[in-house]
Amino acid sequence: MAKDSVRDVVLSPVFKNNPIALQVLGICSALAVTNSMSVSLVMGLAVIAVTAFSNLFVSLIRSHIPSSIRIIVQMTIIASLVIVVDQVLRAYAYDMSKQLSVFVGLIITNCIVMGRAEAYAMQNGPVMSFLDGVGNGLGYAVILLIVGFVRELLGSGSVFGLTVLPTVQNGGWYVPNGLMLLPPSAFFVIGLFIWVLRWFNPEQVEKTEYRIVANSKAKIKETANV
Amino acid sequence: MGIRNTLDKLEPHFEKGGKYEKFYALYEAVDTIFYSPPSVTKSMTHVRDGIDLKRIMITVWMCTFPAMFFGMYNAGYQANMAIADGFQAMGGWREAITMALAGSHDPGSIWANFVLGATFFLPVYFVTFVVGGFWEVLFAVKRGHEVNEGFFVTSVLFALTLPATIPLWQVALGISFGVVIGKEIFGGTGKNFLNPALTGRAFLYFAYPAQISGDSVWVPADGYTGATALSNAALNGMDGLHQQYSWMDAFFGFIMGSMGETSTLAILLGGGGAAADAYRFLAHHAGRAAGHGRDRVAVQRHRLRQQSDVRDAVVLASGAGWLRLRYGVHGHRPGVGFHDQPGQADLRRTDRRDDGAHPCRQPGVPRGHHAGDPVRQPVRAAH
Repeated sequence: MAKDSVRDVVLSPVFKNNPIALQVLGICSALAVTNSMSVSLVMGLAVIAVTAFSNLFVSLIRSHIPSSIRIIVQMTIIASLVIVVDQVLRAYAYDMSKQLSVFVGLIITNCIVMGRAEAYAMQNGPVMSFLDGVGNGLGYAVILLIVGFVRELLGSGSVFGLTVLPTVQNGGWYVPNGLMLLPPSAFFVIGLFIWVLRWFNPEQVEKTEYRIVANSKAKIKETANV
Repeated sequence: MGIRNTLDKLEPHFEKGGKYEKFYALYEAVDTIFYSPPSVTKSMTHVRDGIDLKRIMITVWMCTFPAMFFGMYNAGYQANMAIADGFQAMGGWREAITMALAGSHDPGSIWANFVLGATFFLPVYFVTFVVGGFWEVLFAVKRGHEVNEGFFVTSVLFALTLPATIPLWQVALGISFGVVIGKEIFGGTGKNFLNPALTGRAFLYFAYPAQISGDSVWVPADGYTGATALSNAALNGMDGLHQQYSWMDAFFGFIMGSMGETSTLAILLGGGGAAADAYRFLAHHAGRAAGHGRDRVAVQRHRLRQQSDVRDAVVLASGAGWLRLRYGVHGHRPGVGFHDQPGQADLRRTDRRDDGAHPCRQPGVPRGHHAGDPVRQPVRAAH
């Protein structure tokens, strides 16, 4: 693991090994908070902070954690960090924390955070672990921003609250797509994004588990000759 | 055989290495409209028939015609009624076509109603077919498989579930979503677990509720609003509904709604057609399967004789009801219900030797009366 380069650790989770698109972790909050860009951005930053620092602290004490209670220790660290993030948001961005409501607290349950602590920080040094946390948080944030962009643009005709497509209600021409304002639409957007991603990275496609064997063959030539 | 020759002459261009290799799917689609595909099932336990997916899908497609034609009539009828009440027609090219072909907005004229309704339904259907067909062909070409005729059914069902006033760009979006997300994303026909037509419809409902629900979308007359039968019943109770429509109105379909949904009668007619076709298919094959299964059943007859509960299970499980229905319709024709191949004909004779004690061996009852019936055969010796 020592030969991981900084570049790989930070950038590969963004597209090559994205926590949402490839590992399918942290989907729940991606559905809930992506109806506008600004909310997605704040949520993405919060998760980057939590994954980065939880990785850092877990890595720092990794040799002192008894393996039988390591999950509890990791959870304690993550939970403390989430409380800090939540308090910071309430202090400096109260409206935003209102919009994010429970989902900041729910970062604790975000599989990406604990997954990285368990899979990376427990085996690697503090600096690389911190960067790994930043990278995976970035991967999460990128998807959130993409989904948020599509949903806000098609659902409200705006980006970051600025009108791009003037809607019919405001005298424009764009008829907003109501489905995009509902959480399930994030499923479709994420699904289509995964499709596009695999189009460019065919190695992400799983091996086919089975193949239907053809049980018949066209015999047009033979019968035509008879 | 002129068509066959033309198609065969064209085929090399579409095969591997040919000029239009990429468009093989299109060639194949046209070929199989005129002729059955040459592929046949070779492995065991398959029902074999000249029928294929395309024929079945086209049959189902035709079975939607009653609902489709009635839908066009009714859309026009509802609009002309509203226009007779003083509302304005929608205007534009639809008005021009209606005036050119029908000349009036008389709700009493079947032709005027039909033409006006057609100016709403046909564009919707056309857009559905072109846009959805584009996705179908694109995926067929990209994935290298045949164009699936399931789209015949998808397209017409989708068009029939829409209100007459739906904007055409929404039709295009809806069918794109239905075909791509409802079907192709899972790998195409046969692998999808969603109905593509209804997926598209659901998409439109959630995405653009203003154009597909509410009081003002069902009747294509300018400014007209009116509740559908169900929302009227929800608002005013059944008494209020009875004042608006009679039961027969609802059954025949002279009510507001999506274009293909209003007439229970038309849907029943189509369903009857589909059922008749399925019945013909099933009855035919149940008889043939019975012919095949007979010898296997004969082997088991000793066991069955002693275990009547097993026999009952066979009655229930073997679709014996279909066989009776079949005999009920076609009468009895010995030797028709199963294969007349030499080996099997021998078996049949063997069976007949056992027939002596059976009540059906009376004068006047044709021989082989139960020959196709796997249930009656094993019991015979027990009488």
